[in-house]
Amino acid sequence: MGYAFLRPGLTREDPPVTSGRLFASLALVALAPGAAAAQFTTFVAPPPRVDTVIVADARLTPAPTADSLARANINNMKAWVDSAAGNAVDLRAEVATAAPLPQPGYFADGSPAPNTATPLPLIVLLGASAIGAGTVLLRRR
Amino acid sequence: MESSRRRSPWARRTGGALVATGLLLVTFAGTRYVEGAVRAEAVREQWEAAQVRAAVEATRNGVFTSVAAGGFTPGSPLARLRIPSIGLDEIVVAGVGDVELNVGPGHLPGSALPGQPGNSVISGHRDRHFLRLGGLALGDTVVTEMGPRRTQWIVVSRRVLGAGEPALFATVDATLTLTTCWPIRFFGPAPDRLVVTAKPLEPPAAGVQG
Repeated sequence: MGYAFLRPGLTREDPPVTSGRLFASLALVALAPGAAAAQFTTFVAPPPRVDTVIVADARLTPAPTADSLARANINNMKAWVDSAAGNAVDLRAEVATAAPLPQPGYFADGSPAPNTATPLPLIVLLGASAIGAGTVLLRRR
Repeated sequence: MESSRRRSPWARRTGGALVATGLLLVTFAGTRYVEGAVRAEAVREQWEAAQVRAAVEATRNGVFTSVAAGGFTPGSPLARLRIPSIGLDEIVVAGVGDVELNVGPGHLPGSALPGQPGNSVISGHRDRHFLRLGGLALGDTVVTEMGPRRTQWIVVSRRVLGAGEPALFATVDATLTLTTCWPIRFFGPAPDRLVVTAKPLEPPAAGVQG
């Protein structure tokens, strides 16, 4: 048993390399968070100045609309969260692929008719039926 | 003999529970209906007041500058819809959400305003404002009023489509589309939609700002 894989250029025939310093380093890395009673999860970077980038890219995006602006805001939040988690974020790609979101309730060619279905008649029928059945049961001897 | 005449505890409890549940359901639905009727009356008063203001302003300035009484915020009165053949006279409100449709027929945001070029879509509940829309026949007259703009429409088509089927299409010329659920007499959420299309008798008047 040895740690030859830690030393490039060594072969199986070479004598095993054991290093007390290596063990000490690994132990320190493993135990330090516990000793500090803290959680070291990732590097938290300050949020980048995404607004400037978004505006510059939005000018390159053909025909930006209010909808795409709303989407860009969401992307900003995602970018901020990703950057806070230490993940690399390509803001240019995010903005370039952001498509205008359909606004709820807005008229689109070929869209179905608005939802006018209402359960109120059924509720009235069920309520009246329940009252009728309950009355019959109460009057039954 | 006396015990046989007494109601069984099971029947008494079940009957009481059924009556209580039924009362709750009927009260809930009745509250919604009454609330809608009260708000519809308020919306009509708003509409008439706005019409008076617009008329006074038109007399003073010679032009109408506003049409909707409350702008285009959801639930505000937007137009008046009359269909003499079925006795329909309703104030159309902006929006087609649940709250708006409880008040009156709703104008679909993004569609054209009644009388303007494009497809104007107005939807309503079949159990209230559009209860008699099923009786509309081809050739019937529909009238919309929006500020000074009064448009007469002729019903040109009447279709029944599935709830998810494409029903609304953009048009270049002025079109009025009325939609409601179908069948009219149906307990529960109706599966289909009645789509009535009308075309104006005359081209929309130009120069009137909506």
